[in-house]
Amino acid sequence: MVAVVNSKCSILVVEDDVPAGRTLAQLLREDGYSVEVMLDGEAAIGRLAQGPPPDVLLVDYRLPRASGLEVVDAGRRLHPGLPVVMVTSYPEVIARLDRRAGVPTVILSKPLVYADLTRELEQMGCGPTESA
Amino acid sequence: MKRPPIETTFAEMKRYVRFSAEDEAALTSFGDVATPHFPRIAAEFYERIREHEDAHAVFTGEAQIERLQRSLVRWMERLCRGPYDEGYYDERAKIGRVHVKIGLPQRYMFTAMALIRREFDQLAGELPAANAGAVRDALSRVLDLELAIMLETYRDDFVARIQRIERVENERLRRELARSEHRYTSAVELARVLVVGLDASGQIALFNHEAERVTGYARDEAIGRSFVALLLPEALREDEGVRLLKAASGELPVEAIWEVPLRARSGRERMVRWQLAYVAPTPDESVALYAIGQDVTEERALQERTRQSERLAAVGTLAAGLAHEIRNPLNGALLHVTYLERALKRSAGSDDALETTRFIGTEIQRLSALVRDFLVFARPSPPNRRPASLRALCLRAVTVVADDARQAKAEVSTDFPASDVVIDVDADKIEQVLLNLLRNAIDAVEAAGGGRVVLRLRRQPRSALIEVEDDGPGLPSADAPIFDAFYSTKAQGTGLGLAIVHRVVSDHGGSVEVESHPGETVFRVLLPIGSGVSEVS
Ligand code: HEM
Repeated sequence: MVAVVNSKCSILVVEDDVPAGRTLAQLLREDGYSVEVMLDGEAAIGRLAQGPPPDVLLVDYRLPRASGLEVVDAGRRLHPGLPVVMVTSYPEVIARLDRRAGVPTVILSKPLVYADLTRELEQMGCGPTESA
Repeated sequence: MKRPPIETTFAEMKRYVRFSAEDEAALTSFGDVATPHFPRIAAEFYERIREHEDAHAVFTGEAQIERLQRSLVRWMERLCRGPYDEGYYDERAKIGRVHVKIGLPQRYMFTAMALIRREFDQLAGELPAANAGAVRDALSRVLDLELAIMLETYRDDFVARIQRIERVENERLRRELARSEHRYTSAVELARVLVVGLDASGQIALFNHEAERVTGYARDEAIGRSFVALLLPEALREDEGVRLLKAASGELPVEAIWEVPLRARSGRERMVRWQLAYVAPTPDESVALYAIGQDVTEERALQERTRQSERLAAVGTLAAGLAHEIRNPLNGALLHVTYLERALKRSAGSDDALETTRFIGTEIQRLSALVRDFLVFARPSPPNRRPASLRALCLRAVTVVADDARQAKAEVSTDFPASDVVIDVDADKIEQVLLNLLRNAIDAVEAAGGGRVVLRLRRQPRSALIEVEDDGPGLPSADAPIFDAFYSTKAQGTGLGLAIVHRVVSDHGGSVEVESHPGETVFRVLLPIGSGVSEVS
């Protein structure tokens, strides 16, 4: 079983599909992550500007009010080097953006395979049992 | 009964003018009187000729005229003396032929004879009256005989000339015929169309150069063979073959246009579009059916490719929109299923329930793979080309399919040339091509309980050749639209594997073809070698 430690890896999930976002947050929390969920791009940018930065930004590509890429741009501006996982229905499109600056660290295609996500997070040093 | 002796021309002439012994005697008596006058008459004879240009033109000089005057004197002497036998006829005919030969117009024989007749007549008038009548009669007959003989020689010459003209004309016709035949032959032989003639029984009677080129059969191999047996693919013999035979025998009207594949000597098929024309055979010409054909193999392949890409473009637009609409709900569904599976495990739910949940998860992922493949296929991005080692790509693909191959009891081997082939390609996409072909081959041998798969790489002058060969059961049918999207013979297939192969290879300017018999199926991918080519040892 996963050991939950004090210094949890914090993830900001930006997902406009409410049930999907909620379930994902629940899975992650059960696995020992600290999770915040935002439902649109604008809210996500607001959150990034205010509170302490998350360890990882997990953002949908297509979002209401501000696109996933705008959220990534804002996040990176506010917190240079912020690790980003982008989830998208258009991996083919994002892959072509690859050569531009400010791209997400990792791109995962929908439907998201949960095991793939946690593997990526761990590789980014954001394990559920992150220890000092 | 006694057979009458054969009458000579001269005898017949003499009988006609009633030339008799009395005439001979009268001429002899005339000769006795007239002979001293002959040189004078001869001189006058040639003087008269000098007055006429066309006549005078035949002379070559004065020496000749003197000689001729003496000849003419001798001629007059024999005229009076005889004997009027076959020798006489021959001599006179010979003289006649001399005139024919020098091109003397016939009319001058009559005009010249008129002078002689006139001189003789005058001399006869000086004879005693009792004799004069008989002599004049005799002279008249013998001079007419002379004219008759002369005319006869002109006639002989005329016939000879006509025969010569005919010969020349025949020769000219023969040449003309040969020339026009040569022209037709050249036209038929040089034309970039197949020209084939069949007799009423369907045997090849005419087979031009292009027919040789397209079929690979030499003319003497083809002539006399049955068109259907030699050139039609087996599957078409019953149906198309019988129809062709009936057309050749005149039982059925011909179809003006007939498009049919031909089996070339190499075993390959060429699509040929024929125009047929039936001609009822004659005793001189056995060809009943003329077939003028054009090799449209490449044209048809191009049309087919264009058709496919047009269809794809339309489908691509649709697909992109649909992909999002499908992936989003799948995303929610998969997360929920993941959660459900975890919850069931935690609450120690039934194995069946767990199994069912996993099944849903698998199905969602399969659906997701279908969407992914479909997008790759329908929404192609232009190839992102970099120099890549085809050998390395092949090796990687073999590694990726290794597990599947083991499970399928497929023994995958590679056959590479000594030096690597490095060409400009989109490595990811070509790897996809290799994977799709290898997976198909593995599936094929799995269906047969295991077998052999060979991945072959070759460098050709202007392209790289990649072959994937398996010894599985082969394609169900030669015409199966295997490169079409959603055509699949596999229960689990998305029907996009080969369509993607086709797409990617076409985007690289290459081609893909397949040859399949039970026990041997080869997919052959040709990738053009562009400018950025190098060979690495
Ligand atoms: C009744 C009419 C004629 C008679 C009986 C006559 C008789 C002859 C004879 C006996 C010869 C010699 C043939 C030989 O070499 O054996 C001769 C040759 C010849 N005659 Fe006449 N002739 C006649 C009309 C003409 C006329 C109208 C011409 C007109 C130009 C002519 C031109 C010649 C010539 C050129 C030759 C010589 C060919 C040579 O060089 O050998 N004759 N003819």
